[in-house]
Amino acid sequence: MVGSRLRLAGFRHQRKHGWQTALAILGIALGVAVVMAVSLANQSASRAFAITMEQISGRVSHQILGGPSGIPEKLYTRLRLEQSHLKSAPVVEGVVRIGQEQFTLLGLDPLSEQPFRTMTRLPGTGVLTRLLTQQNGLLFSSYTAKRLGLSAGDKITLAIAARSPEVELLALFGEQQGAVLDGVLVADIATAQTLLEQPGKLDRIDLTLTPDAIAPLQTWLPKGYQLVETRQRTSAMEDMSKAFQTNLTAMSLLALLVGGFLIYNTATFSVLQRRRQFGIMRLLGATRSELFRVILFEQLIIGLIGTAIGMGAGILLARQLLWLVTRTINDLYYTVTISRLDLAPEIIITGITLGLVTTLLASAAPAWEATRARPQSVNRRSAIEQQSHRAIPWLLFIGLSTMGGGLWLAQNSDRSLLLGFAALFCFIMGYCLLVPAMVPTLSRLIQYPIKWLFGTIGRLATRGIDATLSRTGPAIAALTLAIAATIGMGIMVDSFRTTVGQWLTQTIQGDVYISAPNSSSKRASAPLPNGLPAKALKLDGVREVSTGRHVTVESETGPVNLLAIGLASTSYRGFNFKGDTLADLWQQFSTGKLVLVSEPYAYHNRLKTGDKVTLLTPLGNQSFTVGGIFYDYGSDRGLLVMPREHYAKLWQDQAVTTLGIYLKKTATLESVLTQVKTLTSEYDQPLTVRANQEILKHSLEIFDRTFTITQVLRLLVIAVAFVGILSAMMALQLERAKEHAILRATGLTPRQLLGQITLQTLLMGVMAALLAMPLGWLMAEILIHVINVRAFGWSMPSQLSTTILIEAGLFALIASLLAGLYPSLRMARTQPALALREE
Amino acid sequence: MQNKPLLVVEALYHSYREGRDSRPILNGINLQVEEHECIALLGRSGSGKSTLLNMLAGIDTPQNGRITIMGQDIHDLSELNRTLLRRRHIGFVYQFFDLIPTLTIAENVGLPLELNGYPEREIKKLVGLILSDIGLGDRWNAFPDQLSGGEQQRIAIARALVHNPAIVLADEPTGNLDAETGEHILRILLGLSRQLKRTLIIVTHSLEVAEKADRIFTLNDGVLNPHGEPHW
Repeated sequence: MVGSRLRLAGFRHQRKHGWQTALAILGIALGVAVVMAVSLANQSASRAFAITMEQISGRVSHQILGGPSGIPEKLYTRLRLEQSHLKSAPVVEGVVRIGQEQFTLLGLDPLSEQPFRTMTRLPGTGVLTRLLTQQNGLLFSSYTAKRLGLSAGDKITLAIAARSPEVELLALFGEQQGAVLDGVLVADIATAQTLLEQPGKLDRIDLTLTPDAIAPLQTWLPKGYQLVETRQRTSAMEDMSKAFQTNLTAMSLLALLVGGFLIYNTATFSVLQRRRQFGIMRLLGATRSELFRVILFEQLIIGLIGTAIGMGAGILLARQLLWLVTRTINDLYYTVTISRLDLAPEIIITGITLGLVTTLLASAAPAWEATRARPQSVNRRSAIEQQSHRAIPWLLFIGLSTMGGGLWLAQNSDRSLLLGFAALFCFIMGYCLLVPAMVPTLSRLIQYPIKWLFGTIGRLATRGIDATLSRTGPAIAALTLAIAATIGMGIMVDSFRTTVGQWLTQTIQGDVYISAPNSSSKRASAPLPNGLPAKALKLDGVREVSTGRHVTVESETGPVNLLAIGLASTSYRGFNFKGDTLADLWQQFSTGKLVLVSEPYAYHNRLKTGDKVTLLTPLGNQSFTVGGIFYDYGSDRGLLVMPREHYAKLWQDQAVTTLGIYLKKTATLESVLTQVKTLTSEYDQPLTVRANQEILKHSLEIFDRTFTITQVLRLLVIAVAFVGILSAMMALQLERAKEHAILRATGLTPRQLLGQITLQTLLMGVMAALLAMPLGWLMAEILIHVINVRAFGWSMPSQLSTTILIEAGLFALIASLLAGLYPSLRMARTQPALALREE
Repeated sequence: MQNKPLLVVEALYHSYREGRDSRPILNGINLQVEEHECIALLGRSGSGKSTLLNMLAGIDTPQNGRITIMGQDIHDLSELNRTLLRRRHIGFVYQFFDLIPTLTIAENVGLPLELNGYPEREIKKLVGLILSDIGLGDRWNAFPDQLSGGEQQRIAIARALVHNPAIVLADEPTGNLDAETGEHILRILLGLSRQLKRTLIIVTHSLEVAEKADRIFTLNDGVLNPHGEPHW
């Protein structure tokens, strides 16, 4: 077969330069591992969500929903009597915990369940009877029970809000089905109502409707209830976490891009090292395409090994990322249990394809370059370098054009998140093309001070960077990208955290807050005891109180978080508006004609001040004017705010979820806190009392928790970048073995050579760090002002943190120093004659 | 009887840029080489000998003029066809041996045969024969850096001749060797070329080497002139 000797020569070269090959493999493995891990975690989350939804509402076409206080059972009874031809089933749904893990508790009526779900179809009548009659008897999915090591008859303690009822596992369901349902516990409806403390209330009524039954049912339905299509609602829920998942994917692709640059760099070195060999091969009659194929094949093998290792590492990493993704989704979006990695074939195929395509794309240019190799040894090096210098205007032109394209895309891609990422990648690629063009100028700028500082060694070190631009250019570009990625992500997270800190400081106007522990209901937060606000107001040192009620209500576009507030006189300061508000805002607000909408809600629903929002209330659909759009970083789903009195009237809900206490100027926080704690201890219901600063601290802890996964990804990108720096620098210096041997032969001592190599790698690290700073800042600007806005609807100022810049600089220097160490030690130990002979 | 012309060079012109100036390196070269002939090109360093040789091999393109090999104007051919012509009909020997360092000597010698599509068994046979001819039949599995300069050049000669090319181009084949080894190498190169009836064009700056050829030309200031009658 033609090419076997050509391939053999390539493989032996890789073996001979094992370090270089190993680093290239490591680079691609890390890149693939990060992408695989994120894809697997995302896919597992989506799959778990889909399975849960399919099992919970598989054959449910429509649902009847009520307001925050749920649906009275009477409505279901009326429905069964008056619309007896319809297939319907009542559902109670809440969140419970076993240990630290969240589960959805589903209360069902086994007798109405037949057309909808299979969970309550149990073998024999014994279990069914016990489910209907036994207090606190539950069914677990067989997968969940197996995972938790439980079996029928076991007693389990649940955590529901602040209560810890004991329940009994009666039987398992889902053993026959192929799909793995996890995180769902099933009880008889009465048991669920008792456990969730919502006697006589349902969360929804599930229906299977034919198209012609929809309109009559809508007419029949009393005011305050809504008939919604299940599919639409499920997809709206799933969409909530899409932006978060897309962001994770994009960050993982950034790691792969850094890995891709690493491969490009290594492949370029590998090709340049063998330029003469390729020239001989061409001379002997190897055609360009044969040579191209041989080099690509060789890189493909490297890519395959890297991809295979990356896939394995990705699966291991995914197991670690999975709980972070689960926690973030549960914290921010919806309750889902993801305990199992979903190794879907498409993920495996995507991982392999990405690894191999990145390798091939990154190697294509060096491979093409190899086919241009000529056998002449005369002027070979200088010709290549001249060619590299001649390419500078082109690189500038293409680089600037690509960045211009990115800018255009960022401005003209409306709200598309994917095009936003495309713009980001255009900026990155464009800038990386500019880097080799900037290297000669930078090296000329530093050459005199470095010569002055380090003498001949300094001159050799700086001269070498410019003189071998074909090698140093791509290496510095790879380093720049790697460092910039860490800076960009760092600035983005830092800016976000600073903005959230400032926002919280402004928002939390009260001095002490009282709230109930987390609610088990998905519709509303747990209410505080009646009369508590009035009692709190009478405490010594208390000037006034504010009240809040957090609920989820239905709007035209699906469920929306609503905060009904009874404002204190200074509560207004807690709102920072984006753009103009309506005139006499607070006066009109108090009349109940207006709602205030958070920035994410306005962004996702394309609302501006003066627009209308329609909400479903027990009195029917009500329209409200948007009085202003306020900054809010509490949830990317968005929030509406209206006066509590008005909410109470419309939804007939007097409950209060949070109570803010404002102190008189003369009062001390400690004395009021003591009084509040004494007051709350009078109630059976456990209540949380927190001072302003404690809430701030707690909120920032939650912020850090939700950003843990971003930080983990940033660390992974740094790891890939570190390998990139090591690989690029090491390859560069190893490739110069002959040059170093000549210097040694000319009289440079091993110590001087060590100094020269270290100084050169250090200078390149410094150049890369300097060049990475504008790119990192640019990346952060795009992440903050384009990506964040499009993904979550949040706008915020960017904060250039010197700590992150210093960290990045140090990282570049340490990596460069380490990278220079091995080649210099190797060269210092090697006999120059041997190096000259080998090359 | 006059042999049929194998290679014809007509009015070849090529120049290099030196800053803003252009320096002609080949200035109207004409040359006709017959089958089985041995030609020596003499000239100082930088006189354009290697450039001419690269053009004859089709790896460099003249700015003007024509090169015809076996009746084909090689610069009318596509890059691919030029490569295929070189693969089949041209062998090359360099001053710096230019062996592939990661292939054994047998693999190095077998490379042109493989590129020409010879079956593996045939490759082994031909490589064995030629390695025996050059006296390195026992070094099959050695790598180039385990051989002396002279041995490496013998391998380069074997590689240039193994696939039976019509023309062998040798660029200063003894330039990197001591006099005694150089003499030995030259004997092998000329001997094998004659024995296999190959056309040999040898570039050198040594008159002593050139004198072994059928005809000698001198390249001076870009112009090629006959040097004298052969002594061989």
